[in-house]
Amino acid sequence: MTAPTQQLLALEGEVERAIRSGRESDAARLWTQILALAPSHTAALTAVGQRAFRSGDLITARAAFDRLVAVEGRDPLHWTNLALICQQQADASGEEAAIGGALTADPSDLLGLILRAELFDRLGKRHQAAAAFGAVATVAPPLARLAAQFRPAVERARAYRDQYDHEFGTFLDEQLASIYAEFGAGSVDRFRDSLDMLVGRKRRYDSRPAILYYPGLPTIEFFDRALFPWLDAFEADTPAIAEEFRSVLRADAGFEPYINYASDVPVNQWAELNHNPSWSAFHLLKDGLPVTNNAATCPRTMQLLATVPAPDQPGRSPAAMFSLLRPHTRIPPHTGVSNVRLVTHVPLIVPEGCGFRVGNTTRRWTPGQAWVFDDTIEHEAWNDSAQQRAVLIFDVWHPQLALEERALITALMRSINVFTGELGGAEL
Amino acid sequence: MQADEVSVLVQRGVAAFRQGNTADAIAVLSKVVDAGRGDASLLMVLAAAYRRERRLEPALEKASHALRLEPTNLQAVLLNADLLADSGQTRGAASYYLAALKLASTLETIPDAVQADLTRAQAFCNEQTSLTERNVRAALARAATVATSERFRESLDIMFGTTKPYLQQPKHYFFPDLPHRAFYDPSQFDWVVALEQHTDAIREEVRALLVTPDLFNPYVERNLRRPQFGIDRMVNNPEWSAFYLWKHGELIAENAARCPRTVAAMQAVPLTQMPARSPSVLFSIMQPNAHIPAHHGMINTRLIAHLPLMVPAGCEFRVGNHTRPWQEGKVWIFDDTIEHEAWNRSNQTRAILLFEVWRPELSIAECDAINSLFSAIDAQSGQPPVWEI
Repeated sequence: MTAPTQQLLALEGEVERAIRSGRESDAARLWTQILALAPSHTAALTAVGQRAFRSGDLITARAAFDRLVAVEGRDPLHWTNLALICQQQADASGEEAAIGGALTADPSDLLGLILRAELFDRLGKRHQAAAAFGAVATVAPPLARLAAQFRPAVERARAYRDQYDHEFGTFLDEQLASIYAEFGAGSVDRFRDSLDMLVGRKRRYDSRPAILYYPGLPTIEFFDRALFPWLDAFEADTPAIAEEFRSVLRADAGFEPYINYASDVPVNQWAELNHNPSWSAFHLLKDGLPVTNNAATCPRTMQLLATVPAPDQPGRSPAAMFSLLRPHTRIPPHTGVSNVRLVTHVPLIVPEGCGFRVGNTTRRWTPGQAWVFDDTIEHEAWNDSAQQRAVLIFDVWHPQLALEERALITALMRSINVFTGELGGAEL
Repeated sequence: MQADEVSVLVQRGVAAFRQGNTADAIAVLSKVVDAGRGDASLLMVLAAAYRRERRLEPALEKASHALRLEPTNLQAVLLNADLLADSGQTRGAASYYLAALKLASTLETIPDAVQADLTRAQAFCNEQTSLTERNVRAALARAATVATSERFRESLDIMFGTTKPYLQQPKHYFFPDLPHRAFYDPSQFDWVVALEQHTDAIREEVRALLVTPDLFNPYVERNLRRPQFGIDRMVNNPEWSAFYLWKHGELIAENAARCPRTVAAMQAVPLTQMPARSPSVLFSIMQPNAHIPAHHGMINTRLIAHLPLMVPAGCEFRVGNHTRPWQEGKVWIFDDTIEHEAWNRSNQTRAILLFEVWRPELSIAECDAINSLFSAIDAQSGQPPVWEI
């Protein structure tokens, strides 16, 4: 072992003892001696730099950390320390370079991202600051899991991003107003949705079927009415359907709770409405078959249902029912089983104060106006009124499935039934 | 029944159960339960006692009662599952095991003792799923409804959990309501056949470029103005390089001059036009044994087209659930906002012509609105856009 190496080891031992017994000035002297022997000693550079920074000796601190990042540039902490020194020295370009070093070492280093955003903000670079604060908000874990010293900065980053998005959205609305006017209502609706998502006014909803996800289909909340020409007859005959509904309601037989899970199954989101008559159904078609007694009382509705391109999935689909939502009842947000089928609503009785949301879109039911929606997108319904709300609900095939694909899906469901020896069941 | 009497009986019953005296345990604990004084944990002990006696029906009844009292009691869910499994009701057992796993995923801490039960529950569910899968696939095959539809086959794979849905994940801008489709049918695009006829001429031009040194740049270049998360292995990687004919909407005159026939052929293609952004048209080169890791594109309002020019055996391209080899002279069109990656598992260079087209689902009005949007963004930021193809 060479003499300087032995001397270095001895000094390292001494400095350790000095630190342990709290002799700070001894430790500082020893670190300086170590640096004289080994100018690239990372622990010594860190200690000397930090001590100098604390005592306000920025020149010594800067020299130590400049050296440190040259020796060991892979640690983002050395770079962010250097950036803080530059900040104290009011050296913005040095600070920017040091932050760049930290983020090159680790592109998602939270402290580096925060420092970069705050620097852009100080320099008045608003757009770059917004992008940088956005990166802080994206990278940071939820506040509850965040180290306490980062919380104020991350909260500020979120607030900055939200305010910027708000201003950005207002600016874009103004810029695009003329092109909206040119193309007219309806032709750029999904574009407007895209803009709302871009500036955070809406969020993206995907199809989340519980059982069967069919790929390649668009995720559309409410479908274009023109795809379902047979809806005309339902709308025209709404008074007749409503009359049939009223007569079964008067007879007060055949309604059952809409949610009917066995009471010992964990039902999570449905706990409150399980077996609850606040949301009840009068089934016309259930699990793919007519409910004979009920169907016999509603001949016109059954006639109309026969015109629908309904799925053919024994034990599962089609279903058709009068859905009765009692006063002051809310159906919590939920998603359906498969995107191969869509759900039709024919509103019959709709008091004020009822609403229906699918993804980003909230609509009001209007008797005589039917719609078809994708129930695998998160949706919810409410009746905040003092009266009952009634809607005819039934399944239809997704119109973009080829006949061959429909046959395959039907065969799949039959095969599952054959295997399990049952029709349908909660799993599908 | 008085509270002190209940407490004496419970102590006696539980002690009897612990000592293996199940008949006594059942007799004593039943008194408490019949008097309406049993809580969920007591019912579970009683159910466990019946189970030891192999009396599955009353065991199930008590376990089910316990679950009614405490629907989110994880051990009660597991006990119901076990009892159904014991009595041969595998499907019911599977649904309870699944419910237990779902419930456990919502809990912050899981006791070690229950952890082993959960592992067992997962194994049971996996076994049931694979049994169902084998049988359903066999039944489908027997029914002679041979799965000729590619997306139906994909739906089966997703349902049985052998793969997952791959959705559009644009990094920059998301346009809603578009189908999540990996590859498009080239016959939907009327320019494809004409372009394919120029393959030989275009290949000659890229060959000439490849023998000239220093013409290609890394495909993804470091940009310090923006965070470049998750693409570390792509940035400045010389294994994947590009030669642009058009870049960010501008024809690169000196490059175009080297490839007149390619430029002429591309004039006939309806390229995406976005001020300061599109079109980009480039030769994309993958070095031997290069791998481009899985990544997502910027914006889902365009599709990316490839005209393969030099494709050694062993090259492959994956978009979502679909993996294909390039074929020289055959154009394909895909959605680059669905996760995709590429391999060149050969000792030769792979070369393709790469460019972008509007998605066919977009109307002219929508394309115009999108261009106005990005012009407005540029006007607001006063900076050139950060844009990648």
